[in-house]
Amino acid sequence: MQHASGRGEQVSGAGPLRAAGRVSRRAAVAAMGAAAVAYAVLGPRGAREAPPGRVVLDYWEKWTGQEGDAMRRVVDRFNRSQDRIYVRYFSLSAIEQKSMVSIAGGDPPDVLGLWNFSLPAFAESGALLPLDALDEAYRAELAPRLASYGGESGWPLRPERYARPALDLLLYKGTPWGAVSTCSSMALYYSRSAFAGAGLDPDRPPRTIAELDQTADRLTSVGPRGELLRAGFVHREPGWWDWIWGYFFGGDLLDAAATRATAGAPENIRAYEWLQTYPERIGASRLLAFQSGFGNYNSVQQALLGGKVAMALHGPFLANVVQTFRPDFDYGAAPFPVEESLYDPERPIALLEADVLCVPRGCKRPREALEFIAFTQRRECLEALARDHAKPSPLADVSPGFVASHPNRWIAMHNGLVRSARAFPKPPTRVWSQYEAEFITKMGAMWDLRVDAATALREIQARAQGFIDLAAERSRRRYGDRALTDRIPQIGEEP
Amino acid sequence: MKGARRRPAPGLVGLLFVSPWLAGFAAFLAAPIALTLYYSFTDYTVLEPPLWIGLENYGRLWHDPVFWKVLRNTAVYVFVGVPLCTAAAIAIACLLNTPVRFRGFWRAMVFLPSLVPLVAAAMVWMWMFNGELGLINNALDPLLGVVNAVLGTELRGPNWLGSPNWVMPSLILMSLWGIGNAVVIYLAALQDVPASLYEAAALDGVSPSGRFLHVTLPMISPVVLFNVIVGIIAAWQVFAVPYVMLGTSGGPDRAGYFYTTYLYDNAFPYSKMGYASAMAWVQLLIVLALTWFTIVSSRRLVYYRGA
Repeated sequence: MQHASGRGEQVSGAGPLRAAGRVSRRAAVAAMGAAAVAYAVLGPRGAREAPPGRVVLDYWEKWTGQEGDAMRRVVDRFNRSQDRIYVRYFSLSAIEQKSMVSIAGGDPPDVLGLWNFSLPAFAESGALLPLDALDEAYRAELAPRLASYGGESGWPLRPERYARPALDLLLYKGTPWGAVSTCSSMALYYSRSAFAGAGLDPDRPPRTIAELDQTADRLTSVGPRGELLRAGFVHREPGWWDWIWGYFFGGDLLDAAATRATAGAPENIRAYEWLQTYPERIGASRLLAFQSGFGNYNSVQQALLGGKVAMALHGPFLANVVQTFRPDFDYGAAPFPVEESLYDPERPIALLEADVLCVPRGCKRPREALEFIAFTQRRECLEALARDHAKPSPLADVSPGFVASHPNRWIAMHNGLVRSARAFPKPPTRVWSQYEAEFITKMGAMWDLRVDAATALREIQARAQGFIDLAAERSRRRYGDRALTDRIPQIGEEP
Repeated sequence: MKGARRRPAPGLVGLLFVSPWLAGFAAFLAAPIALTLYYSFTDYTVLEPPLWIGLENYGRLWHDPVFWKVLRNTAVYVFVGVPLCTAAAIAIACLLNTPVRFRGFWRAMVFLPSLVPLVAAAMVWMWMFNGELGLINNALDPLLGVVNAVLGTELRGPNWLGSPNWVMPSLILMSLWGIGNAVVIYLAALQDVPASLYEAAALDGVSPSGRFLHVTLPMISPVVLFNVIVGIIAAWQVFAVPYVMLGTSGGPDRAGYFYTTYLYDNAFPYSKMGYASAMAWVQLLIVLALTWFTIVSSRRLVYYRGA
């Protein structure tokens, strides 16, 4: 008997069973296939988040937790304010890598949350649409619409609304590549109780490097067995800015054209020679062992909160960590001390960083993306976001209630840093991540005194120059003499 | 003959059933591997189209000091870590093969660490290696106290992850954490050694160590070879643990910076996918060469029963 499966010889013995209704193998496979197709076509769907009839925008952002919740509230506010667009907020880790892949693959989100220091690499690669072009294309249409949503009047993306240094963070080679969502200025944070305990005035933090050294010495305490109980100041806590110290001595890491690495400049060498005096005084191995006991930034064991360090370079967002883990911690903050000749209370020197909302190349709804970005730039949104992130406002003037209701009691000082003419960003170059990696490596060697500052910085400079030259050479090979402004992707251009 | 149906060839039906896997393999593995070969000859930033530059990436590797550094680090990790783990796994398997009390419990305990996710294990080991508060230094302290008292020295526990001299020993030590899998394989092999061989050796007056060297090792040698090859391949690709414990720079002086970490850094943070692809192909050639060398050099050392 020939079985329906075509394998009659294998199942022929089952004839009576088949007669009793046994299903053939082919029928079983076909049934399973049909079931799978039916499940795929008719099966359950993910919850429909977006109300029907709205244009859906995808917004990728790097924030999670408290910071992510703050941005979600802005997104919710936008979604409630009108009934045409619906923004979906996606919180992503490794956002730069994932964005790169999505942009290269031609399926990017509509709005992308990057850092200001990511802009050079993305802009040079033609991965972003410039904000000024979007503004020019859609402003006339969007301004009245945005005004109809109520709230603050006027088109928010006007340069004069922003503090100039905060606005500069968005520029690369003269073109704005996004709008600021939050910005930070870094400062010296210190334990006021440690100051008082050492007989220092908590209201008079150090202003110059010499004062910082004296204060640090007074605050450093050693146990009966010679063990370090508290360090006055540790450059590598929290350790995010190993490259920064030259700026407080008047140095820089790039020349004005961003074509020459200047890590080996005399100001930088002076700064890192000063830095090496700390492990020299305390003892490199003792300091390293002491440092290894520092806890995570987001914990009560963090060196400053835990009392292991009395002064450290921190961002304003430290206030949220204090609020979460040690609300009783009495801290002070001030512009970071500088070399005596550079001291100018009207123009403090400080690192600025910004989170930037960008529209990637290949964005399918650039008009709606700009509308959402413009909405986030309203005062109430920017200030709410800044408050929730415990950061200063990027706007030129702040509302009276902003400072009063801010979780960081030193926010007025941070606002001042954002407006300082000598505020500086991370060096704007597409090879920054490689440049910084060299700094991190050599900083370790400088910190435990295995190499002198001048040698280390010259080696960093040579390596960084190699990265810059290679990037420039390959850019020339790829684009010839065409400037960045001549190869900016156009709105609606397919990737 | 009219009405006769052509039966598909059995091989064809088999292929049909594995076709989803074949399609997946072709799309997600074979094609990307082939593309990396092409990318290795290009300047490719991911965001910009690849630009042909011939052998330039390979030439740059030759002159890249960090490439040589990670190559050296990885080689040390492989050539010290793999033999150490192999020796430790065989020793523990032999112990667990003896009739000790609570044998099942000990076997479970040895295997258990292999089930812990690498990132979680790395976090725990970070604290164990902590120079000031770590468990290991706390255990060493009394011992060093005695040594210091006797010799008048001032020895202290090392700053395991903070000193360039101690980073590699720390990571190799930690690699022992994951030998549970190998132990289980060795245990199976040990239980397959005929008891008659041990009895014959005992009758001939062979000592326990002689029995291990002349009976046990030859009989489990194919399994040792398998584990060594798998160990070399895995160790050459070490990534997660040093990445979590030491961050992107590989710790002080890049002492814990490994080949795959540098490859990843080039591919993504540095946007040098072409260069990373060249590194990947060099890595493949190195692993192939090591595997070939291990197999060839083991011909006289491995005994296959029934061969």
